[in-house]
Amino acid sequence: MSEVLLEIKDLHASIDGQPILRGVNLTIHAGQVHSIMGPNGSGKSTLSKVLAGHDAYEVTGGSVKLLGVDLLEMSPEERALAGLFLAFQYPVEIPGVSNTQFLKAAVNAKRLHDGLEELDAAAFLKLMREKAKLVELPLDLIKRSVNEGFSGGEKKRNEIFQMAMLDPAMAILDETDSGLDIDALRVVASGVNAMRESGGGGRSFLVITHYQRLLDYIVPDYVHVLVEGQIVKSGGKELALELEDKGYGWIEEELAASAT
Amino acid sequence: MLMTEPEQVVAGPAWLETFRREGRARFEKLGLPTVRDEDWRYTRLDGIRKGEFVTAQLVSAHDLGGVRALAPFAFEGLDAQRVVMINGVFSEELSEFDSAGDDAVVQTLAQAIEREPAMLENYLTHFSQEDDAFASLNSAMLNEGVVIHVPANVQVGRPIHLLNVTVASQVQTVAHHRCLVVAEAGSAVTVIEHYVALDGGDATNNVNSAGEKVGGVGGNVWGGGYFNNAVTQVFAKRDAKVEHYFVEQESDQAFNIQTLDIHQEQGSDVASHSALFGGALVRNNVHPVLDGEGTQCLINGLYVGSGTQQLDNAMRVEHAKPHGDSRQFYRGVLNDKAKAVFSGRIVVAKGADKTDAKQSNSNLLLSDHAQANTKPQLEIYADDVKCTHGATVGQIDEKAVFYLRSRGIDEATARGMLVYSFAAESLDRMALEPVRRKLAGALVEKMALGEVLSVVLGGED
Ligand SMILES: Nc1ncnc2c1ncn2[C@@H]1O[C@H](COP(=O)(O)OP(=O)(O)OP(=O)(O)O)[C@@H](O)[C@H]1O
Ligand SMILES: [Mg+2]
Repeated sequence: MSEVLLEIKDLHASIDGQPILRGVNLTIHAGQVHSIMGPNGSGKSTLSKVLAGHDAYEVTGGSVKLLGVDLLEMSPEERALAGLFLAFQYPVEIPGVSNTQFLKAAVNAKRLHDGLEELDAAAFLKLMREKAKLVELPLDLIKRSVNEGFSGGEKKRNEIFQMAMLDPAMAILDETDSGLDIDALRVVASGVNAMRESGGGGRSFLVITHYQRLLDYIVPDYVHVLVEGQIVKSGGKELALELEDKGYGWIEEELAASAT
Repeated sequence: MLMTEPEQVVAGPAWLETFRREGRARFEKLGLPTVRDEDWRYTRLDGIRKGEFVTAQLVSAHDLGGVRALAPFAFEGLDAQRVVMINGVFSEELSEFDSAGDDAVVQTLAQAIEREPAMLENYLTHFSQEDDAFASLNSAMLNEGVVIHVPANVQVGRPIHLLNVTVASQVQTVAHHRCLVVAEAGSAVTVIEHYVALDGGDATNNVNSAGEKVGGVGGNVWGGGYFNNAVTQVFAKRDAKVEHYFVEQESDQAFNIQTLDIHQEQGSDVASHSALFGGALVRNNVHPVLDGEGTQCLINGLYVGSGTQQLDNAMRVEHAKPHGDSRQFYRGVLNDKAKAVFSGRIVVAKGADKTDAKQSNSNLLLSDHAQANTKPQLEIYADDVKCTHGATVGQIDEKAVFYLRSRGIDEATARGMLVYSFAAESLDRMALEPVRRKLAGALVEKMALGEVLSVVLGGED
């Protein structure tokens, strides 16, 4: 089997003293696509933000390794430079900072880290054009301030555009499908699939979603169910269909039954 | 001590004597404002009140180290006419402005007294802030200044860079500078009033782009606070276009009180840009009167404070006639224990219908000890008007910092980008790119944004 890209072991995290993640275990190998589903408030975004290094969350136990290196010791920017990318459920608006400036800073930080030369203006523009095409993001949107006044769908598309620009080894997509119209969903999914194939097929994805529809396009290798801060069930892509059909109630019942 | 007599008083016609005398009488009656005055609530004038000021004197170009000493104050890439005042006194040696052709619109006050006394009397006495103590003091002491008179329909090509240099001195000095800009009908002109300091010590301004100290006068150091009390009057006649900049980059020893009084006739278009970086205490008064139909006025400003700086902006925008548009945009970035004030008064007179007045003031506090006081004041006596205002005082958005960092941008750069972009919004409204660039550099240096400049400004497409 391919090498382990991300290894989460018994991860506990809390916010304001309130435990949210209560022992998450998840191992993702290079090239795999995993999906996490689960009821509202179960901790999916918390998991993604803890992985990205948000300092509002306190990790109270467990470990996370990215390519064998302790992720939890790293600052958010170090994690990004090490190849982690999070497409936010709620992307942040940054008035005054243009997408172009922002991405240039990000791309060049990454290149510097990788021992590559900074891209000059022309090369950068070329890269931007190419990646914008991938997710059909209009160029005038890129010239505007980061996410400012973007529609919900435009913000999500912009996340995937950024992902394409930064070329991460491990991408977490937190409800990227929410807010996308039917056509945009297809476009974004095909962008993700293109990235899945590029980079020697070693790139991995963790796709957080509520809807089976996205998984029709981005077909996962594994589906996990997160309930109350724990992965309580894992399966193949059929699990998503079953959840779509039956909801989460039966899992919770199963859990209750096995607990007694 | 604020009314010490200069060495050489420019003698003038009788009206000028009267003008000075009346100014003196008003100042004596008004006295220096105190924090009990509503308009000065947040700004203490103790430093000025207690100052032992003497009238500043001219220093020769030779003693300054030649025109080269002024190189750090140039706006690189800007082909400007240069009018230099050293310690408030006109320096012919260091100035370079057109004396023939369309661009020849600059005269010294002394020259204007000789050449156009009637014009001068007419405009100097037409001042809307009679009850202002500092402006009255300036009138009382009127002796040095610059008069820019643009004939009808003349578009002045080269902007006028009015460089006011204060040279370090062992004694406390005061100068009362006056600038008069009269743009006749259909004319256009750009004036940059730039306040800087030169010393042999550690004033931050006189460092050239290579980072070396230049200029400086015999190792002189500051002997205490100095005071520039300046008044600028702008008259934009019918359809005239005036762009005015006030760039404050003085040493941390400066008290600077600026009063910009603008009078606009029908169809005129005036922009006032203020950039406050230097000074211990700066009061920036901007008073446009939109006294003609269909006038436009942009009042744009940026103040960047650190240490214990006090930066006080007092706007008074008067709509006197219908169909006037005014836009006030002021932004401040404050670090350490810096304090700022923005008071934005909008007065819409009876009959000034279809007025469209907007005001916004935003403050970014970078330290727990920095302070911003913002105060909109609307006085509306007309019926059919559009008036909006908004003010914010906030800190860096931590969500935005995390977002940027999550893309691999280090924390210092992320914060720097956010500070820079906050302030850049003010700079972006300035028409002159070389001014924008210089101020962007000043911002980066002052807020230690270091690398950010290259990242953000480098190779903008
Ligand atoms: N600052 C906070 N203080 C207390 N609880 C918090 C705080 N922030 C988040 N939570 C709680 O943490 C839990 C997990 O939130 P999270 O956003 O991770 O859920 P989610 O699984 O992503 O839900 P959704 O499907 O709705 O996006 C929620 O119950 C939420 O209310
Ligand atoms: Mg969520």
